[in-house]
Amino acid sequence: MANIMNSKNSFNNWLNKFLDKLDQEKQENVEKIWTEAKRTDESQKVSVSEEEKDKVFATIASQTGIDTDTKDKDDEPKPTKIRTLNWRWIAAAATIIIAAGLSYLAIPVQYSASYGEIATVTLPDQSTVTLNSGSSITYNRLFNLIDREVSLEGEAYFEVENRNLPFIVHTSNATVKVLGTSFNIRSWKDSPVPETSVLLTEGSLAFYPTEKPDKSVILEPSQKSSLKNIDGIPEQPFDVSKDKTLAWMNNQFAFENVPLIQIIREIERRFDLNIQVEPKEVLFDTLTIYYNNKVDAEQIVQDICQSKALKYRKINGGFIIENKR
Amino acid sequence: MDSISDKQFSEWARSIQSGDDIAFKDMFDATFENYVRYAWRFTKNKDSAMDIVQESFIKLWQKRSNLDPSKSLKTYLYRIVKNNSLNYLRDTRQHTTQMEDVQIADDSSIVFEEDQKSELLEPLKKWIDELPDRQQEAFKLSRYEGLSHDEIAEIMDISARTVNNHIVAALNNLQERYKSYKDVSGKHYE
Repeated sequence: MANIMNSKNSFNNWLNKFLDKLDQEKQENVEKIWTEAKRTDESQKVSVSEEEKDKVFATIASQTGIDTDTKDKDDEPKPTKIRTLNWRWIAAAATIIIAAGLSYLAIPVQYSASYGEIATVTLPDQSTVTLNSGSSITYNRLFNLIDREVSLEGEAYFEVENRNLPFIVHTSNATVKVLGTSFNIRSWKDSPVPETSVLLTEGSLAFYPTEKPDKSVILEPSQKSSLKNIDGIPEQPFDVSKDKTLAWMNNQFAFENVPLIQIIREIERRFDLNIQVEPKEVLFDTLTIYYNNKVDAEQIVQDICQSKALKYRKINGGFIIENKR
Repeated sequence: MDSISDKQFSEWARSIQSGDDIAFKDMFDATFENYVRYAWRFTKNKDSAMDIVQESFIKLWQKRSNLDPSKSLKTYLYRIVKNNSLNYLRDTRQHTTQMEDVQIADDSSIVFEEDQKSELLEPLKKWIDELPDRQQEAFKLSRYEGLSHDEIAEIMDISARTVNNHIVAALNNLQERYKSYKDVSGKHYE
């Protein structure tokens, strides 16, 4: 009975009174039910993001004539903010990290997809971004008001709504500028040199080195271009089959002439695994690998080993790839 | 929402009554998700639950001058959300029964996925859902929302004494079912 009595005395006086009238067995049953009942609450699975909250409040404000510009100012005296967070949900979904605080506007919004997961984010302008495992995007809180700029680390597929403001994606070395269109960008931090590649699926876009906007190339649908290094220029756009570039969105796995190291990193991200490759000399060999259907990590590792005459063994949480004796 | 004190709510009530939109935004930020969960219990659909709570806050702001700071703002908003949810159910059931069935099935399939499953959880949930309406409402407001009997009394528009009776009856009811459940499953192991 202890755990019940310890919580909020006044609230549970009635419960103790009720329990006192019961025999031992019934008391235990009721206590168990009382404790467990709280866990049957399905609504705890429902959670609301800061973004959704902001959107709803914006609607409320517009319908009641409240001026939202005056909100969230640091110098306004106001009661301490109380936020209620569902930690279980946060841990489970692990897709949203939102920093909110006093310098609300100064802190950018970031969304990321953790390893083993693909996440879709709707931006304030209703554009959507599908993030490949281990990727993240960042934008400032005035997104859609003064600009539409996001920063990407990793790989993502964008479906951009047509608006007056241009939609701009920054990577470590390149910039993609569009009005309304759909495209895929890949720009992993762990590639040997800063590298960004873009595939356009719909509309049109401009792709240029961040430092040199005049070196831009214009892509047409089903064309791809990439840009290496900080001071490089984009490669001439060429036609490709978009299925392979977008394979990740369907949980497929496809790479064409890509260094082994990048394929390994992608397996690690997509399947949330750790893979060690002992023979370092093979890491920069390029490989073409394509699975039509959903594939598991071990199958890919096995096929890589076969093509490179290597062998692998399973370890806890991953694989070790090594030379054949 | 248990973490928000009654004092905080009455401060909000006083500020909102005098037209303080910053207090209104604060209260919104602190309570929105809780009220959405409450509305979700009726609609089983997050979007409509958010719409309902949005409408409820609009109503709260529009009627702010009628607020009575001596009464609980927390339960006042619960009542608005409850009424709006019931209206929503009434309006949609007539037109889109099929649609809703689909949504309920979708939502319920994610339930308990990540919880450590206790064998009692599923049957207990079923028993709670099978309690008589009023017992069920009182019990859920007490356990799920963490509300006091006085607060529940205001939301259900009955006396605190009756709330107590409902919850005690619910517990007796659940206890009986648990007891026979244990007896039956006990026999399985013999």
